[in-house]
Amino acid sequence: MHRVAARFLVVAAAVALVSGACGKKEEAAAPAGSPPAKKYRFAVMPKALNLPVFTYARTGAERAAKELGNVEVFWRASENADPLRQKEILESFITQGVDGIAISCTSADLLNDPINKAMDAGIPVVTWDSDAPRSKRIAFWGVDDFKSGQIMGEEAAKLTGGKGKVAFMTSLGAENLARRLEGVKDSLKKYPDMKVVETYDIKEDPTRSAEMIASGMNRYPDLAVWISVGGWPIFVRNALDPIDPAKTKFVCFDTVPPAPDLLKSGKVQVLIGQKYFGWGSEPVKLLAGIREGRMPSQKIIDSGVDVVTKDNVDAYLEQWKKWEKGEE
Amino acid sequence: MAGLAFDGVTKSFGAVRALKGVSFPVAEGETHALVGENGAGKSTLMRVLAGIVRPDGGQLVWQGRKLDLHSPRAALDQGIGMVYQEMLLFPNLTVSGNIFAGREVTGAGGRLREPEMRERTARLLEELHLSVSADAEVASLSTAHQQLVQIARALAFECRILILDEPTTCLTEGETAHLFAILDRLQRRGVTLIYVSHKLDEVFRLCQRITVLRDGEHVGTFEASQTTPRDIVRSMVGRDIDPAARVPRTVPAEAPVVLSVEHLTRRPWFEDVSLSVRAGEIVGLFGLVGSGRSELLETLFGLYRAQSGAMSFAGLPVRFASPVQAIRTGLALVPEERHRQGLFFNLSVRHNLVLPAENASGPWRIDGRRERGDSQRLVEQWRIKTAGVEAPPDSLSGGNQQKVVMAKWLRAAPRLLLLDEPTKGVDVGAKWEIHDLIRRQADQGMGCLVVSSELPEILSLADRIVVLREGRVQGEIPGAGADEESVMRLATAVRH
Amino acid sequence: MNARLQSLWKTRELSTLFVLALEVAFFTWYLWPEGDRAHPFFNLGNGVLILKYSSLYGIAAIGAAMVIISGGVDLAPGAVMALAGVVTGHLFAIQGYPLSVGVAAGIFTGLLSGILSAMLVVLVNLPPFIATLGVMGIARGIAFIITEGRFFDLSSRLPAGWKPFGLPADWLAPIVLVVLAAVFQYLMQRFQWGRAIFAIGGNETAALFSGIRVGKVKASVYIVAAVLASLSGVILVVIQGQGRADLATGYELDIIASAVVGGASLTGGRGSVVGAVLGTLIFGVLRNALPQIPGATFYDRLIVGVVVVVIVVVDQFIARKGA
Repeated sequence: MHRVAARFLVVAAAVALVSGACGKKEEAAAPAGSPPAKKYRFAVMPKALNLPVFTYARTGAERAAKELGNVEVFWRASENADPLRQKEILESFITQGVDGIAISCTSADLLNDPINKAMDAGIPVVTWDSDAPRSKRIAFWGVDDFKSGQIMGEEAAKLTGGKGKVAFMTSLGAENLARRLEGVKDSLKKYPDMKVVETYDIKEDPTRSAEMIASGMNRYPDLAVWISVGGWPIFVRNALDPIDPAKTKFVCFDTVPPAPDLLKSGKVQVLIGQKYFGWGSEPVKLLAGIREGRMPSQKIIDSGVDVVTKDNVDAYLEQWKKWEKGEE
Repeated sequence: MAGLAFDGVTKSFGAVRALKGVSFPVAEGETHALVGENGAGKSTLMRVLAGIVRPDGGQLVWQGRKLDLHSPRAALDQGIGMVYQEMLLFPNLTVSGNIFAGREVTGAGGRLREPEMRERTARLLEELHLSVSADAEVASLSTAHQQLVQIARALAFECRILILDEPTTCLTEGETAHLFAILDRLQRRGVTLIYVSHKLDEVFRLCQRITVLRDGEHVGTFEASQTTPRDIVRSMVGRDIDPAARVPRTVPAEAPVVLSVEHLTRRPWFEDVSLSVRAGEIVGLFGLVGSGRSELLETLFGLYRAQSGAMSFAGLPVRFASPVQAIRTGLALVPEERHRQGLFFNLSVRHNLVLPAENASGPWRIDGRRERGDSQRLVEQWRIKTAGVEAPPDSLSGGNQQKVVMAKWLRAAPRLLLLDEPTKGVDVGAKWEIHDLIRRQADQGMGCLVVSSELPEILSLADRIVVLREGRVQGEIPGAGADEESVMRLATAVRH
Repeated sequence: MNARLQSLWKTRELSTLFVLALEVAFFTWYLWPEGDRAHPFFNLGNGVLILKYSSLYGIAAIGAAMVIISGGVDLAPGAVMALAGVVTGHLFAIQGYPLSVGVAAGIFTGLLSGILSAMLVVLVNLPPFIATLGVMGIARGIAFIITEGRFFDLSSRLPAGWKPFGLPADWLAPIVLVVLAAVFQYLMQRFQWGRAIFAIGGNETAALFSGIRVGKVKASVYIVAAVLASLSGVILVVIQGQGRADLATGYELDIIASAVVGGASLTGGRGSVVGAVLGTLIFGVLRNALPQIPGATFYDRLIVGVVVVVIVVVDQFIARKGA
């Protein structure tokens, strides 16, 4: 009895594993019996799997792959933003010999080494959203963080009439966020009556934003405006509840849903949107081009930003639907 | 002065006074028995000797010098070995590993000298006529072999005093004889043996003198040749009872058949078993180890499915798919190993007493007050010695634990009670009480099927004796007038 | 089942090695590239990578295996790794002490954590699960306090192309792992101390009654485990050149799983150091190979869980069939 049960279990387990694996085989193009045309395997790596903004990048990347026809996208990252894990995954893509890497860096300098190794091994690397400027990467596609920061500063000044207390929200460590903050501070220099009272650091943990906003409003009930260089408060439920929109304004980065709803409800006044779908599609197209000999014309490709307010939010949403479907 | 002397040994565990100034001598080289009811203090006294427990007062003297027994290691180093009642072996180590555990033969820095240890083990095993390999993993050995490995462990190092605590509880007759042969050889070598046991026949066979403890006090030390089992029991219990006496019973002729089993088969344990039990009848099922007795009871109770054959209860054919069904129909099983199968050690005595009845037929909600009342009544009715119904079962002695198991089943008033080795590991006084309880239940019309490997127990209890051998019924004889020989003949199928 | 095969399987080192070989063979087949492309999985660079990253788990798994064999369990390795790494990083990169001082301090924190665990388990008699859970929280907490949640960066202070002890940086961890695994395997099998650990795990009461110094041996096991974890954390931070307080989060479960897959039984008394190390390799291969399966982004955890269950269940059936 036990003998039979044991054998059955071993076979069943093996079958389950293999069929599970085969199931995934269907999803991807089957290795054997595929068309003889060469398929490029590109690794597209966001900072983490748990940051909602990146899901749109994935859509963009996979759509671009389908359009191009000869590209296979490997979407890979650790669940939480973990620079060491990202380095590990990057290194394993190198030893696996992928044809191109597009990466949003959790920590710029940490990844210089593996990026350079990839370039030396003949694997083209482009960065998006968050750059590694001191590495050998071919190009960067994303917003000009400094400029977008400046725009945020200007919008904040417009909202408050150029005076009042200001609180920043950021996550120390990421270069792109640091640059944005520089841009904000730069434009605020023109408004000496706007005083920065505190810079809140969510330490890469989006859920902290709610705490920070609550304690911020507690300490500075007369705060004029919040400037958040990342979209974290949007994705945490009720994070913005402690804010009274009549007294305190909110300028935030990122326009991905449910941000537009917050605009409509009045909790947030200005949103700076990045080109989320482009994060996925453009680097993939760049890599495909590079593989066929077409190098990008410049190292830093500014994707541009969208400034969204209550006035133009509906138009923006219409545009969003078009992007999702793949129409530019 | 040669020999071992216990001198005023006193020990209390909190409020419980386990030993109250126990003093008696043990001659060097003799085999000395230590008997007493559960809770009399035998185990505690032996633990003091083995260095596991430090006494509050008194001392132990060996050959005129005071023994320093501050740890098990100290006792071992002074040549005192103990074979414990519970299996204190390392199931994950080999025989050799077990024998030398804690006292390995080592080289520099504690490096093990395996070949030397294996060789010494092999020699020891040979000496004890134990056909087991030194490299065998202990977990794979039979209980009897494990017991003998424990003994080998105690003997591996020079042992001047060897304590044996209920060594034959799990052994068959053959294995017991083997053990006694080893003990005889040890006696001839001059080892002092202290034999703790409930089995008086063994005590009288082996020992020169017998010490009786009762309630932590020394009652007396007797020469075996000048006393009888009855005297000993009287000293142990403080009452005069004859443990082997048979109480004559009559089963009314019109008593209906409660259980009828026909050609029941479950390979490889038993085959073609047919028997019946009537209301008010005590049927004894005797067989040696391997005869399939426990498996038969478990199948009757619904724990396992029979492969073929039929069972009927009070005239109606039944086929139990689970114990819950069996319980609802009116059966109850008091299992062989109360530790593993009968008691919940993480619950209190109260919970243990009330569990099955509720389980099978009770209401959803637990009525705490009713529970406490019921369990209190049962404790009184059965004279269970416990520090209250909230006490955990492991604070009770073996005999009282067994009473809890029986009480819990009888609360549900079954019509048929299956008992598997009901007095295993139980002291004489409690044994007598349990037998009495079984008879009284039978007198009230309950049918009882008692499985036992203790022949005296079967002979004193059963109205009818069914003998099993290797899974088959060898024969049936009436209880009155049966004797050891006739039963054993059937059990071993020796033809004269 | 053939008794000889059964006893061979019972040699945990062999059976785990067999599973590892099976795994490698499977992925080599499954990820076979089309055309003239080089094999993405079965190549030297990838093998070195797997070794490098698995070693960090592996060094700590040596200690974890010994704790489990003694009948206990250790939930602290991840946190101790992080704390040791943070201490080293803080002293070297921020305070400016020489690297050797930082490393020594990191390992010393491991020693302290181990002593804390040992005291809680042996003196206070807490169940090891709770004791090490507490130490895990304390270690992780102190790490956060030291770093204030920020990154610290060592790479700027290390010379480029730095070779610790003359070895390429990538090889440091695997070599340390191999050496330590050999040493501890030998100790466990051939020394009284190791035998005592097995005995305590097999039957602690019997060990006590046999005169084995149960308290001392148990304490030593927890201390060794923590020191090994701290060593792993120090190496991690030095090799990667960067660190943070939330390093090695969740590693303890992978480490325990590796030990179990390598033959350790959570009830104590059974297991193997080498088996645990091979167990970490089994997981390391999975972590490396799974990302190469397109479309399987979110399946990693599921597959790892299934693999653990299958290996343990199959092992139970095969090893116990004789009983």
